[in-house]
Amino acid sequence: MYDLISAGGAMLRLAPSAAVHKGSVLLPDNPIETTPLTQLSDALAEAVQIAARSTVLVNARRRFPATGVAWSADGLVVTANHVVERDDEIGILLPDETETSATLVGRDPRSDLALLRVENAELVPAERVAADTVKVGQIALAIGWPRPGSPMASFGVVSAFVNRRRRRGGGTPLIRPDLVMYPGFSGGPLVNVSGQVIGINSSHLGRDGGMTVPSETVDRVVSALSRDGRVRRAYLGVASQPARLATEIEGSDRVLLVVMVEAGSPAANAGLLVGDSIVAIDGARLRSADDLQAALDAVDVGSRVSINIVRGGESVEVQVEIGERA
Amino acid sequence: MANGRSVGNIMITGLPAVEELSVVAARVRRGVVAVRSADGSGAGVIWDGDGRVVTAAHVVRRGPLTVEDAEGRTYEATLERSDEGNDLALLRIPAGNIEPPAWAFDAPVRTGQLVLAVGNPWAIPGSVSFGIVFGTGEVTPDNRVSLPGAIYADLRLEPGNSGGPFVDARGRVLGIASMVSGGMAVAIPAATVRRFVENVV
Repeated sequence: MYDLISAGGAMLRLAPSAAVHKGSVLLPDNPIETTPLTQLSDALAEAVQIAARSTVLVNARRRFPATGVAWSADGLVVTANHVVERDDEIGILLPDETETSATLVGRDPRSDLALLRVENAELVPAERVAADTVKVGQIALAIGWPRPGSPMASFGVVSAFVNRRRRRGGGTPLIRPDLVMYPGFSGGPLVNVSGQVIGINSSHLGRDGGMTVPSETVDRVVSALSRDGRVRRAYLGVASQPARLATEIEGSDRVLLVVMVEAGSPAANAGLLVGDSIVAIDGARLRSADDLQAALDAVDVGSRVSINIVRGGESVEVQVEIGERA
Repeated sequence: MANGRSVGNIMITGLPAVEELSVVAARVRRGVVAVRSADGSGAGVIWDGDGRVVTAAHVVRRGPLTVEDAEGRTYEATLERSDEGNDLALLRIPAGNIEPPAWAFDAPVRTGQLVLAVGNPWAIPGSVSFGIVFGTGEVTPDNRVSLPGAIYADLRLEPGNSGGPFVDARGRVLGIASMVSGGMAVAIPAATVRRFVENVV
Protein backbone atom coordinates (compact mmCIF):
# COMPACT_ATOMS: atom_id res chain seq x y z
CA MET A 1 0.00 0.00 0.00
CA TYR A 2 1.40 3.35 -1.00
CA ASP A 3 0.63 6.77 0.03
CA LEU A 4 1.50 10.23 -1.15
CA ILE A 5 4.14 11.96 0.83
CA SER A 6 5.29 15.37 -0.16
CA ALA A 7 9.01 15.83 -0.60
CA GLY A 8 9.77 19.47 -1.02
CA GLY A 9 8.62 19.85 -4.59
CA ALA A 10 10.72 17.01 -6.01
CA MET A 11 9.03 15.53 -9.04
CA LEU A 12 9.51 11.84 -8.77
CA ARG A 13 7.17 9.18 -9.92
CA LEU A 14 7.91 5.90 -8.21
CA ALA A 15 4.81 3.95 -9.06
CA PRO A 16 2.72 3.78 -12.20
CA SER A 17 -0.29 5.07 -10.36
CA ALA A 18 -2.57 7.75 -11.63
CA ALA A 19 -2.76 8.83 -8.04
CA VAL A 20 0.60 10.54 -8.18
CA HIS A 21 0.39 14.25 -8.56
CA LYS A 22 3.16 16.68 -9.25
CA GLY A 23 5.23 17.75 -6.32
CA SER A 24 4.71 14.49 -4.54
CA VAL A 25 6.66 11.33 -3.98
CA LEU A 26 5.26 7.93 -3.28
CA LEU A 27 6.59 6.38 -0.15
CA PRO A 28 5.50 3.29 1.73
CA ASP A 29 2.54 4.03 3.95
CA ASN A 30 4.03 2.25 6.90
CA PRO A 31 6.26 2.75 8.70
CA ILE A 32 6.53 6.47 8.10
CA GLU A 33 7.61 7.22 11.58
CA THR A 34 6.57 6.28 15.04
CA THR A 35 6.36 9.18 17.43
CA PRO A 36 4.87 9.52 20.88
CA LEU A 37 1.90 11.15 19.19
CA THR A 38 1.33 8.25 16.81
CA GLN A 39 1.68 5.88 19.77
CA LEU A 40 -0.94 7.82 21.69
CA SER A 41 -3.20 7.84 18.64
CA ASP A 42 -2.77 4.08 18.20
CA ALA A 43 -3.35 3.48 21.93
CA LEU A 44 -6.63 5.43 21.82
CA ALA A 45 -7.85 3.47 18.81
CA GLU A 46 -6.80 0.24 20.57
CA ALA A 47 -8.65 1.30 23.73
CA VAL A 48 -11.84 1.81 21.71
CA GLN A 49 -11.42 -1.64 20.18
CA ILE A 50 -10.87 -3.29 23.58
CA ALA A 51 -13.86 -1.52 25.13
CA ALA A 52 -16.01 -2.37 22.12
CA ARG A 53 -15.64 -6.08 22.90
CA SER A 54 -17.79 -5.52 26.00
CA THR A 55 -20.10 -2.84 24.62
CA VAL A 56 -23.64 -3.63 23.49
CA LEU A 57 -26.44 -1.66 21.89
CA VAL A 58 -29.54 -1.44 24.10
CA ASN A 59 -32.84 -0.83 22.33
CA ALA A 60 -35.44 -0.14 25.00
CA ARG A 61 -36.88 3.27 24.27
CA ARG A 62 -38.91 5.00 21.61
CA ARG A 63 -36.57 7.47 20.01
CA PHE A 64 -33.19 5.86 19.55
CA PRO A 65 -31.15 3.10 21.19
CA ALA A 66 -28.45 3.62 23.78
CA THR A 67 -25.47 1.72 25.09
CA GLY A 68 -24.78 -1.01 27.64
CA VAL A 69 -21.74 -2.77 29.08
CA ALA A 70 -21.28 -6.52 29.61
CA TRP A 71 -20.61 -6.89 33.34
CA SER A 72 -20.41 -10.67 33.65
CA ALA A 73 -19.59 -13.50 31.25
CA ASP A 74 -22.94 -15.17 31.96
CA GLY A 75 -25.12 -12.41 30.60
CA LEU A 76 -25.38 -9.46 33.00
CA VAL A 77 -25.43 -6.15 31.17
CA VAL A 78 -25.36 -2.75 32.85
CA THR A 79 -26.97 0.26 31.23
CA ALA A 80 -28.49 3.59 32.23
CA ASN A 81 -31.90 3.38 33.89
CA HIS A 82 -33.33 6.29 31.92
CA VAL A 83 -32.69 4.63 28.55
CA VAL A 84 -34.74 1.57 29.56
CA GLU A 85 -38.20 3.02 29.04
CA ARG A 86 -39.94 -0.34 28.86
CA ASP A 87 -39.67 -3.42 31.07
CA ASP A 88 -39.81 -5.95 28.27
CA GLU A 89 -38.98 -6.24 24.59
CA ILE A 90 -35.51 -5.03 25.31
CA GLY A 91 -33.44 -5.49 22.18
CA ILE A 92 -29.72 -6.07 22.38
CA LEU A 93 -27.05 -5.99 19.70
CA LEU A 94 -24.03 -7.96 20.90
CA PRO A 95 -20.47 -6.90 20.04
CA ASP A 96 -20.42 -9.45 17.21
CA GLU A 97 -23.60 -7.75 15.92
CA THR A 98 -25.90 -10.69 16.67
CA GLU A 99 -29.35 -9.52 17.67
CA THR A 100 -30.83 -10.87 20.86
CA SER A 101 -33.03 -9.72 23.71
CA ALA A 102 -32.65 -9.10 27.43
CA THR A 103 -34.81 -9.22 30.52
CA LEU A 104 -34.83 -6.48 33.14
CA VAL A 105 -33.27 -7.63 36.42
CA GLY A 106 -33.77 -4.36 38.26
CA ARG A 107 -33.43 -0.61 38.29
CA ASP A 108 -31.79 1.93 40.54
CA PRO A 109 -33.07 5.35 39.54
CA ARG A 110 -30.83 7.16 42.02
CA SER A 111 -27.63 6.00 40.35
CA ASP A 112 -29.43 5.91 36.98
CA LEU A 113 -28.39 2.30 36.50
CA ALA A 114 -30.40 -0.65 35.22
CA LEU A 115 -29.32 -4.28 35.15
CA LEU A 116 -30.29 -6.51 32.25
CA ARG A 117 -29.78 -10.20 31.63
CA VAL A 118 -29.06 -11.65 28.21
CA GLU A 119 -29.84 -15.37 28.07
CA ASN A 120 -27.65 -17.89 26.30
CA ALA A 121 -24.93 -15.43 25.50
CA GLU A 122 -21.26 -15.60 26.25
CA LEU A 123 -20.15 -12.08 26.92
CA VAL A 124 -16.72 -10.58 27.42
CA PRO A 125 -17.09 -8.80 30.76
CA ALA A 126 -15.61 -5.32 30.81
CA GLU A 127 -12.29 -4.98 32.58
CA ARG A 128 -12.76 -2.43 35.34
CA VAL A 129 -10.40 -0.08 37.17
CA ALA A 130 -10.80 0.98 40.77
CA ALA A 131 -11.71 4.61 41.37
CA ASP A 132 -8.58 5.22 43.43
CA THR A 133 -6.44 4.64 40.34
CA VAL A 134 -8.37 7.28 38.42
CA LYS A 135 -6.75 10.70 38.40
CA VAL A 136 -8.21 14.08 37.61
CA GLY A 137 -6.75 15.19 34.28
CA GLN A 138 -6.17 11.72 32.83
CA ILE A 139 -7.29 11.04 29.30
CA ALA A 140 -10.63 9.28 29.02
CA LEU A 141 -12.88 8.06 26.22
CA ALA A 142 -16.64 7.65 26.27
CA ILE A 143 -17.81 4.73 24.15
CA GLY A 144 -21.29 4.64 22.70
CA TRP A 145 -23.12 2.30 20.40
CA PRO A 146 -26.48 3.90 19.70
CA ARG A 147 -26.58 2.94 16.02
CA PRO A 148 -25.84 -0.25 14.14
CA GLY A 149 -22.36 -0.16 12.67
CA SER A 150 -19.31 0.19 14.82
CA PRO A 151 -19.17 1.76 18.28
CA MET A 152 -18.35 5.43 18.55
CA ALA A 153 -16.06 7.33 20.85
CA SER A 154 -15.61 10.79 22.26
CA PHE A 155 -12.49 12.12 23.89
CA GLY A 156 -11.61 14.18 26.91
CA VAL A 157 -10.28 14.00 30.43
CA VAL A 158 -11.46 13.08 33.90
CA SER A 159 -12.49 16.50 35.13
CA ALA A 160 -13.41 16.02 38.79
CA PHE A 161 -14.69 13.73 41.47
CA VAL A 162 -18.02 15.00 42.69
CA ASN A 163 -19.23 14.26 46.17
CA ARG A 164 -22.90 13.69 45.87
CA ARG A 165 -23.76 12.97 49.49
CA ARG A 166 -25.57 16.22 49.98
CA ARG A 167 -28.12 15.24 47.41
CA ARG A 168 -31.15 13.48 48.73
CA GLY A 169 -30.60 9.75 48.78
CA GLY A 170 -27.11 10.22 47.42
CA GLY A 171 -24.00 8.94 49.07
CA THR A 172 -22.28 8.11 45.80
CA PRO A 173 -19.26 10.01 44.65
CA LEU A 174 -19.47 10.49 40.89
CA ILE A 175 -16.88 11.18 38.25
CA ARG A 176 -17.31 14.24 36.10
CA PRO A 177 -15.74 13.70 32.68
CA ASP A 178 -14.91 16.63 30.43
CA LEU A 179 -16.12 15.18 27.16
CA VAL A 180 -19.23 15.10 25.02
CA MET A 181 -21.80 12.43 25.83
CA TYR A 182 -23.51 12.24 22.46
CA PRO A 183 -27.13 11.08 22.22
CA GLY A 184 -27.27 7.36 23.02
CA PHE A 185 -23.96 7.31 24.90
CA SER A 186 -25.76 6.89 28.24
CA GLY A 187 -25.20 3.43 29.69
CA GLY A 188 -21.87 3.14 27.90
CA PRO A 189 -18.45 3.02 29.50
CA LEU A 190 -15.95 5.73 30.31
CA VAL A 191 -12.60 4.07 29.66
CA ASN A 192 -8.94 4.90 30.17
CA VAL A 193 -6.30 4.73 27.44
CA SER A 194 -5.96 1.00 28.08
CA GLY A 195 -9.67 0.43 27.43
CA GLN A 196 -10.45 -0.37 31.08
CA VAL A 197 -13.79 0.81 32.39
CA ILE A 198 -13.67 3.73 34.83
CA GLY A 199 -17.46 3.78 35.13
CA ILE A 200 -20.83 3.99 33.41
CA ASN A 201 -21.88 7.24 31.73
CA SER A 202 -25.23 8.93 32.19
CA SER A 203 -26.28 12.19 30.63
CA HIS A 204 -29.08 12.36 33.24
CA LEU A 205 -26.77 12.66 36.23
CA GLY A 206 -25.40 16.07 37.06
CA ARG A 207 -26.73 19.39 35.91
CA ASP A 208 -25.48 19.23 32.36
CA GLY A 209 -23.01 17.29 30.32
CA GLY A 210 -23.47 14.09 32.29
CA MET A 211 -21.63 12.13 34.93
CA THR A 212 -19.95 8.76 35.30
CA VAL A 213 -20.88 6.27 38.02
CA PRO A 214 -17.60 4.69 39.19
CA SER A 215 -17.16 0.98 38.49
CA GLU A 216 -17.06 0.06 42.20
CA THR A 217 -20.44 1.72 42.74
CA VAL A 218 -21.75 -0.10 39.69
CA ASP A 219 -20.50 -3.37 41.26
CA ARG A 220 -22.44 -2.64 44.46
CA VAL A 221 -25.60 -1.72 42.57
CA VAL A 222 -25.26 -4.81 40.35
CA SER A 223 -25.03 -7.15 43.33
CA ALA A 224 -27.96 -5.44 45.08
CA LEU A 225 -30.08 -5.61 41.93
CA SER A 226 -29.18 -9.26 41.30
CA ARG A 227 -30.07 -10.12 44.90
CA ASP A 228 -33.15 -7.97 45.58
CA GLY A 229 -34.12 -6.48 42.24
CA ARG A 230 -33.67 -3.04 43.81
CA VAL A 231 -31.21 -1.11 45.91
CA ARG A 232 -32.41 -0.82 49.50
CA ARG A 233 -31.31 2.42 51.09
CA ALA A 234 -31.22 3.04 54.81
CA TYR A 235 -33.69 5.54 56.22
CA LEU A 236 -33.59 7.33 59.56
CA GLY A 237 -36.11 10.17 59.19
CA VAL A 238 -34.39 13.26 60.51
CA ALA A 239 -33.28 16.56 59.06
CA SER A 240 -30.22 18.03 60.68
CA GLN A 241 -27.76 20.84 60.55
CA PRO A 242 -24.21 21.15 61.86
CA ALA A 243 -23.88 22.79 65.24
CA ARG A 244 -21.30 23.24 68.01
CA LEU A 245 -21.60 22.26 71.62
CA ALA A 246 -20.49 24.52 74.48
CA THR A 247 -17.97 21.86 75.49
CA GLU A 248 -16.06 19.26 73.54
CA ILE A 249 -16.90 15.58 73.61
CA GLU A 250 -13.84 13.40 73.04
CA GLY A 251 -11.92 16.17 71.31
CA SER A 252 -14.62 17.73 69.17
CA ASP A 253 -17.47 20.15 69.79
CA ARG A 254 -19.10 19.51 66.43
CA VAL A 255 -22.45 17.72 66.31
CA LEU A 256 -25.57 17.49 64.17
CA LEU A 257 -28.58 19.32 65.52
CA VAL A 258 -31.88 17.57 64.78
CA VAL A 259 -34.22 20.18 63.25
CA MET A 260 -36.99 17.86 62.07
CA VAL A 261 -38.21 14.33 62.84
CA GLU A 262 -40.54 12.68 60.34
CA ALA A 263 -43.67 11.25 61.93
CA GLY A 264 -43.68 7.45 61.97
CA SER A 265 -40.02 7.28 60.94
CA PRO A 266 -37.40 5.05 62.61
CA ALA A 267 -36.07 8.17 64.35
CA ALA A 268 -39.53 9.04 65.71
CA ASN A 269 -40.12 5.47 66.86
CA ALA A 270 -36.81 5.54 68.72
CA GLY A 271 -37.80 8.75 70.46
CA LEU A 272 -35.45 11.20 68.78
CA LEU A 273 -36.62 14.79 69.32
CA VAL A 274 -36.12 18.09 67.59
CA GLY A 275 -33.30 19.80 69.48
CA ASP A 276 -31.31 16.61 70.12
CA SER A 277 -27.65 16.86 69.11
CA ILE A 278 -26.41 13.74 67.33
CA VAL A 279 -22.83 12.96 68.29
CA ALA A 280 -22.21 9.52 66.78
CA ILE A 281 -23.83 6.54 65.08
CA ASP A 282 -22.43 3.16 66.12
CA GLY A 283 -19.44 4.94 67.58
CA ALA A 284 -18.58 6.91 64.42
CA ARG A 285 -18.50 10.67 65.06
CA LEU A 286 -20.73 12.85 62.87
CA ARG A 287 -19.66 16.35 62.01
CA SER A 288 -21.72 17.03 58.90
CA ALA A 289 -24.79 15.88 57.03
CA ASP A 290 -22.36 14.08 54.71
CA ASP A 291 -21.12 12.03 57.66
CA LEU A 292 -24.68 11.08 58.59
CA GLN A 293 -25.43 9.98 55.03
CA ALA A 294 -22.18 8.01 54.91
CA ALA A 295 -23.03 6.31 58.22
CA LEU A 296 -26.46 5.34 56.91
CA ASP A 297 -24.98 4.06 53.63
CA ALA A 298 -22.81 1.71 55.68
CA VAL A 299 -25.67 -0.01 57.53
CA ASP A 300 -28.21 -2.54 56.34
CA VAL A 301 -31.91 -1.87 56.23
CA GLY A 302 -33.52 -3.56 59.26
CA SER A 303 -30.40 -3.52 61.40
CA ARG A 304 -30.25 -1.83 64.80
CA VAL A 305 -27.80 0.97 65.42
CA SER A 306 -27.02 2.96 68.53
CA ILE A 307 -27.10 6.72 68.27
CA ASN A 308 -25.32 8.91 70.81
CA ILE A 309 -27.06 12.22 71.39
CA VAL A 310 -26.82 15.15 73.73
CA ARG A 311 -30.25 16.15 75.12
CA GLY A 312 -30.60 18.92 77.67
CA GLY A 313 -26.88 18.76 78.39
CA GLU A 314 -26.98 15.01 79.11
CA SER A 315 -25.43 12.28 76.99
CA VAL A 316 -28.06 9.75 75.94
CA GLU A 317 -27.83 6.63 73.81
CA VAL A 318 -30.85 5.49 71.81
CA GLN A 319 -31.35 2.35 69.72
CA VAL A 320 -32.87 2.77 66.28
CA GLU A 321 -34.07 0.13 63.86
CA ILE A 322 -33.03 1.41 60.45
CA GLY A 323 -35.86 1.59 57.93
CA GLU A 324 -35.88 1.56 54.16
CA ARG A 325 -36.15 4.75 52.15
CA ALA A 326 -39.19 4.65 49.95
CA MET B 1 13.11 5.27 31.40
CA ALA B 2 14.37 8.18 33.47
CA ASN B 3 11.79 10.82 34.29
CA GLY B 4 9.25 8.82 32.35
CA ARG B 5 5.65 8.66 33.25
CA SER B 6 3.19 6.17 32.06
CA VAL B 7 -0.08 6.92 30.31
CA GLY B 8 -1.63 3.52 29.91
CA ASN B 9 1.11 1.50 28.31
CA ILE B 10 2.84 4.47 26.69
CA MET B 11 5.91 5.94 28.26
CA ILE B 12 6.01 9.66 27.95
CA THR B 13 9.29 11.38 28.69
CA GLY B 14 9.40 15.14 28.74
CA LEU B 15 5.95 15.02 27.12
CA PRO B 16 7.12 14.60 23.52
CA ALA B 17 3.58 13.67 22.50
CA VAL B 18 2.56 17.21 23.31
CA GLU B 19 5.54 18.69 21.49
CA GLU B 20 4.91 16.42 18.54
CA LEU B 21 1.39 17.76 18.29
CA SER B 22 2.73 21.25 17.58
CA VAL B 23 5.26 19.84 15.09
CA VAL B 24 2.49 18.08 13.18
CA ALA B 25 0.30 21.15 13.33
CA ALA B 26 3.08 23.40 12.03
CA ARG B 27 3.85 21.02 9.16
CA VAL B 28 0.23 20.83 8.06
CA ARG B 29 -0.49 24.53 8.40
CA ARG B 30 2.01 25.29 5.63
CA GLY B 31 -0.31 23.57 3.16
CA VAL B 32 -3.58 25.03 4.43
CA VAL B 33 -5.03 28.22 2.94
CA ALA B 34 -7.86 30.59 3.80
CA VAL B 35 -10.54 30.76 1.12
CA ARG B 36 -12.80 33.81 0.82
CA SER B 37 -15.92 34.17 -1.28
CA ALA B 38 -18.89 36.49 -1.43
CA ASP B 39 -20.55 34.26 1.17
CA GLY B 40 -17.80 34.35 3.74
CA SER B 41 -14.70 32.39 4.43
CA GLY B 42 -13.50 28.84 4.77
CA ALA B 43 -10.30 26.92 4.34
CA GLY B 44 -8.62 24.84 1.68
CA VAL B 45 -5.76 22.41 1.23
CA ILE B 46 -2.96 22.74 -1.32
CA TRP B 47 -3.32 19.75 -3.63
CA ASP B 48 -0.21 20.01 -5.79
CA GLY B 49 2.64 22.16 -7.06
CA ASP B 50 0.46 23.41 -9.92
CA GLY B 51 -1.54 25.68 -7.65
CA ARG B 52 -4.55 23.43 -7.27
CA VAL B 53 -6.44 23.80 -4.01
CA VAL B 54 -9.16 21.54 -2.62
CA THR B 55 -11.95 23.05 -0.55
CA ALA B 56 -15.60 22.49 0.32
CA ALA B 57 -18.14 23.27 -2.39
CA HIS B 58 -20.37 25.25 -0.06
CA VAL B 59 -17.53 27.67 0.69
CA VAL B 60 -17.08 28.80 -2.93
CA ARG B 61 -20.60 29.06 -4.34
CA ARG B 62 -20.31 32.77 -5.13
CA GLY B 63 -17.23 34.64 -6.29
CA PRO B 64 -15.04 36.56 -6.42
CA LEU B 65 -12.77 33.99 -4.81
CA THR B 66 -9.52 34.78 -3.09
CA VAL B 67 -7.03 32.52 -1.39
CA GLU B 68 -4.52 33.46 1.28
CA ASP B 69 -1.64 31.06 1.86
CA ALA B 70 0.14 30.32 5.13
CA GLU B 71 2.71 33.05 4.35
CA GLY B 72 -0.03 35.63 4.07
CA ARG B 73 0.18 35.99 0.27
CA THR B 74 -3.18 36.42 -1.39
CA TYR B 75 -4.21 35.20 -4.82
CA GLU B 76 -7.24 35.44 -7.05
CA ALA B 77 -8.63 31.95 -7.39
CA THR B 78 -10.62 30.37 -10.18
CA LEU B 79 -13.13 27.60 -9.60
CA GLU B 80 -12.20 24.60 -11.74
CA ARG B 81 -14.88 22.21 -10.65
CA SER B 82 -17.28 21.51 -7.82
CA ASP B 83 -19.30 18.53 -6.61
CA GLU B 84 -22.16 19.61 -4.36
CA GLY B 85 -23.07 16.01 -3.50
CA ASN B 86 -19.70 15.39 -1.90
CA ASP B 87 -19.28 19.05 -0.91
CA LEU B 88 -15.95 19.35 -2.71
CA ALA B 89 -14.50 22.02 -4.98
CA LEU B 90 -11.24 22.41 -6.84
CA LEU B 91 -9.66 25.84 -7.17
CA ARG B 92 -6.59 27.05 -8.99
CA ILE B 93 -4.31 29.82 -7.84
CA PRO B 94 -1.31 31.32 -9.65
CA ALA B 95 1.22 29.82 -7.25
CA GLY B 96 3.26 26.77 -8.08
CA ASN B 97 5.64 26.58 -5.21
CA ILE B 98 3.55 25.75 -2.17
CA GLU B 99 4.33 22.38 -0.70
CA PRO B 100 1.23 20.19 -0.44
CA PRO B 101 0.68 18.21 2.74
CA ALA B 102 0.85 14.42 2.75
CA TRP B 103 -2.42 12.60 2.18
CA ALA B 104 -3.59 9.30 3.63
CA PHE B 105 -5.70 7.89 0.82
CA ASP B 106 -5.65 4.26 1.81
CA ALA B 107 -4.79 4.14 5.51
CA PRO B 108 -7.60 2.65 7.60
CA VAL B 109 -9.28 5.24 9.77
CA ARG B 110 -9.86 3.85 13.27
CA THR B 111 -12.38 5.09 15.81
CA GLY B 112 -10.45 6.70 18.65
CA GLN B 113 -7.39 7.78 16.69
CA LEU B 114 -6.26 11.37 17.06
CA VAL B 115 -7.38 14.03 14.61
CA LEU B 116 -6.26 17.61 14.10
CA ALA B 117 -8.42 19.99 12.13
CA VAL B 118 -6.83 23.08 10.61
CA GLY B 119 -8.97 25.86 9.24
CA ASN B 120 -10.04 29.42 9.24
CA PRO B 121 -12.68 29.56 11.99
CA TRP B 122 -14.11 33.00 12.54
CA ALA B 123 -11.57 34.19 9.96
CA ILE B 124 -8.57 33.22 12.08
CA PRO B 125 -6.37 31.46 9.51
CA GLY B 126 -4.41 28.37 10.49
CA SER B 127 -6.39 27.66 13.64
CA VAL B 128 -5.91 24.14 14.97
CA SER B 129 -8.45 22.05 16.85
CA PHE B 130 -7.87 18.64 18.34
CA GLY B 131 -9.97 15.53 18.91
CA ILE B 132 -10.47 11.92 17.88
CA VAL B 133 -12.27 9.96 15.21
CA PHE B 134 -15.80 9.45 16.50
CA GLY B 135 -16.77 6.92 13.87
CA THR B 136 -16.69 6.26 10.17
CA GLY B 137 -18.89 4.92 7.44
CA GLU B 138 -22.60 5.03 6.99
CA VAL B 139 -23.53 7.27 9.83
CA THR B 140 -26.40 9.45 8.77
CA PRO B 141 -26.29 12.71 10.64
CA ASP B 142 -29.35 14.48 11.98
CA ASN B 143 -29.93 16.44 8.80
CA ARG B 144 -30.34 13.08 6.98
CA VAL B 145 -27.44 13.70 4.64
CA SER B 146 -25.76 10.37 4.04
CA LEU B 147 -22.10 10.53 3.20
CA PRO B 148 -20.66 7.09 2.53
CA GLY B 149 -17.29 6.58 4.15
CA ALA B 150 -17.45 9.95 5.86
CA ILE B 151 -15.20 10.55 8.84
CA TYR B 152 -16.98 11.76 11.95
CA ALA B 153 -14.84 13.41 14.57
CA ASP B 154 -15.32 14.40 18.17
CA LEU B 155 -13.74 17.73 17.54
CA ARG B 156 -14.77 21.36 17.69
CA LEU B 157 -15.48 22.86 14.29
CA GLU B 158 -16.61 26.41 13.73
CA PRO B 159 -17.79 28.33 10.68
CA GLY B 160 -14.65 28.77 8.58
CA ASN B 161 -13.28 25.31 9.23
CA SER B 162 -15.10 24.02 6.15
CA GLY B 163 -12.73 23.00 3.39
CA GLY B 164 -9.80 22.56 5.77
CA PRO B 165 -8.12 19.26 6.49
CA PHE B 166 -8.60 16.55 9.09
CA VAL B 167 -5.07 15.35 9.81
CA ASP B 168 -3.82 12.21 11.58
CA ALA B 169 -1.00 11.92 14.14
CA ARG B 170 1.49 11.49 11.29
CA GLY B 171 0.42 14.77 9.73
CA ARG B 172 -1.40 13.14 6.82
CA VAL B 173 -4.66 14.52 5.51
CA LEU B 174 -7.51 12.10 6.23
CA GLY B 175 -10.26 14.21 4.72
CA ILE B 176 -11.78 17.62 4.05
CA ALA B 177 -13.99 19.19 6.73
CA SER B 178 -17.52 19.59 5.46
CA MET B 179 -19.97 20.29 8.24
CA VAL B 180 -21.02 19.84 11.81
CA SER B 181 -23.87 17.42 12.28
CA GLY B 182 -25.40 16.40 15.58
CA GLY B 183 -22.44 18.02 17.31
CA MET B 184 -19.99 15.93 15.30
CA ALA B 185 -17.50 17.25 12.81
CA VAL B 186 -17.86 15.54 9.45
CA ALA B 187 -15.15 15.21 6.80
CA ILE B 188 -15.15 13.87 3.25
CA PRO B 189 -12.55 11.08 3.15
CA ALA B 190 -9.27 11.51 1.28
CA ALA B 191 -10.11 8.70 -1.17
CA THR B 192 -13.28 10.55 -2.24
CA VAL B 193 -11.27 13.76 -2.60
CA ARG B 194 -8.78 12.01 -4.88
CA ARG B 195 -11.56 10.58 -7.05
CA PHE B 196 -13.06 14.04 -7.31
CA VAL B 197 -9.80 15.79 -8.21
CA GLU B 198 -8.87 13.15 -10.76
CA ASN B 199 -12.38 13.34 -12.12
CA VAL B 200 -12.99 9.62 -11.77
CA VAL B 201 -16.62 8.96 -12.53
